[in-house]
Amino acid sequence: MAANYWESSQFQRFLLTRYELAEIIHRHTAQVSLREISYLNIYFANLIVLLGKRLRIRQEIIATATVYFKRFYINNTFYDIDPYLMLSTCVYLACKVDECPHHIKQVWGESKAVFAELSSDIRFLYDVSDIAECESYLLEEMKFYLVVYHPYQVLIDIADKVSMTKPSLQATWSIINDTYKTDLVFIYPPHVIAVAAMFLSRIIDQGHQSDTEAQQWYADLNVEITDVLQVVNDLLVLYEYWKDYSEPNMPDMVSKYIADIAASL
Amino acid sequence: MEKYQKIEKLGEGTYGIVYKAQNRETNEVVALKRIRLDNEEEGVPCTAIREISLLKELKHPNIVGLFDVLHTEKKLTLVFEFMDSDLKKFVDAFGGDLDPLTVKHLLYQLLCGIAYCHRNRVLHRDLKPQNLLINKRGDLKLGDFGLARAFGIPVRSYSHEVVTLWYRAPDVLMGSRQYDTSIDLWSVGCIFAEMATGRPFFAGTSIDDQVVHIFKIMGTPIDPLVQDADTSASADPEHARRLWPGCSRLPEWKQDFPVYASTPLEPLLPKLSTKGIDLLKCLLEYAPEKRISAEQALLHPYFDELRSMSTSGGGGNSS
Repeated sequence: MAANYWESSQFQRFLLTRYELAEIIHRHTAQVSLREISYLNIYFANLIVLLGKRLRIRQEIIATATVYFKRFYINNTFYDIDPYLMLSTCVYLACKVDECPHHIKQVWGESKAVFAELSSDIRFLYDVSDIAECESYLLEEMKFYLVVYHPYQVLIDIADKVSMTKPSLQATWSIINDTYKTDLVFIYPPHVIAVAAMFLSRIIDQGHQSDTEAQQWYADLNVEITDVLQVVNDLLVLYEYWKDYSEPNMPDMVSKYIADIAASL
Repeated sequence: MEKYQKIEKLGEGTYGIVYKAQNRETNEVVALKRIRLDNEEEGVPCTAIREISLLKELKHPNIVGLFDVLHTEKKLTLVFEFMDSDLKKFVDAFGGDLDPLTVKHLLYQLLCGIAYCHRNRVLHRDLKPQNLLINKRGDLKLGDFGLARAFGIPVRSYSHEVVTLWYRAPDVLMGSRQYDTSIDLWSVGCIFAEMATGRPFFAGTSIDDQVVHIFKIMGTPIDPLVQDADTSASADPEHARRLWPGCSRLPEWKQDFPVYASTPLEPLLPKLSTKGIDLLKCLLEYAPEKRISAEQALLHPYFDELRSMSTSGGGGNSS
């Protein structure tokens, strides 16, 4: 399902404007700063990557799981369903959708291991049936729209056309990985994010093409350059926050955050 | 009160019971596919997840419509557009004797549905008459996407135990794991021949037997990369059909496969025109890379008759 983004549920149902998104996020995170929201985004995206690596699943499946996680919490709070349980469930479901199913026991076991390795403060007191139950809440929340489009395929297609070197392909690929630590997936189509990631990687490594060549290439693209610059800007903000991000502090921050929501109800 | 009133049981699908039912508010008749979720251990079955995820995105007149997914604690119900019959029952109802124009209409619709899937990078992988649904107006729609997969992302290999034996492509039968859209077109060829004769074209009982059934009609393949194609098949006027570069490198290729010449197709399919026979040969092409695509097949002269009918205004509803 990659040729038809404009007819996809992702475009028709899950795309928001920047303002709509800000409003929705503000509704249940009023008491948290933008910096803290960014930390939470980085934290849970990282945990999904760690779990994905243990299960040896492809980057696209990790990305799909991250999008599911975001789709669930855009309309729910961490108090409604424990984010650690939801995280395992998202990975479990993304594997099924991508036809690389893992037994629920394995996902459960690896989740426990990932969380335990990170901190003894994370309490994962669930069993496999909780993941199965949580899966039904997740499916319901997404109205069973499960196919997600990612910038990776766009990048592969472009890289092929412009004969991109392997190092720039890899650099761009890791910038795309970073976009999942933001909410960009709700605002921009995959090709805009892919082009922005290419653009940023060129700025960083001063590419091999001459400047005029690059300008021509971007000029020929049928992509709003202001959108591309917005994505780049959001990524620079992410990197700015990331400098002071401290993973060991996160489990504590998450529990305090959930306790605050509970207290405010 | 439930939204849908069950009317009758239609049968058992890959993973649950199928009912005919009516929407109490709109009176619309639908098909309900019930999936029991008593297997708490693994949540919603993977085949159901795949079918739902693909059908939620694929919208086409030749693909069965998924209207709704109802989710309760103990079961999952997929609400499909109602179709009166399937191709197997349809062919049987006519005693296996469909008229040539009906065959053409049905094949055209089948190819339209497949072309749409392939454009969207989805392989069906399980095409067979039972999975092709037909309604009273003669519309044909692809159903049962439980084994379908999106192939947008390159994967090292797909599990090769998927397509039902009789409709399975020879490259898959011989262990190829790098298959693509061409496997669906082989199945289309088998279904085409079955519509024209009223009987399964290659009805094997095991993988080996299936291979022999194919060889007996199409001829044992010859690998021109290792054999001198001219001398080994000089007695066979249709030996070009048997040429399949690289076939001897397939994992399950056997040196001692029985050697058959290819049989002329015309006497086996007396109802097919010359153009029909030609299209069938393009579909039942041994080499996957030479097999005709759904998009190309739709342009084949065999369908000229339908095109002239639709331009003169008498074509009906078969697009």
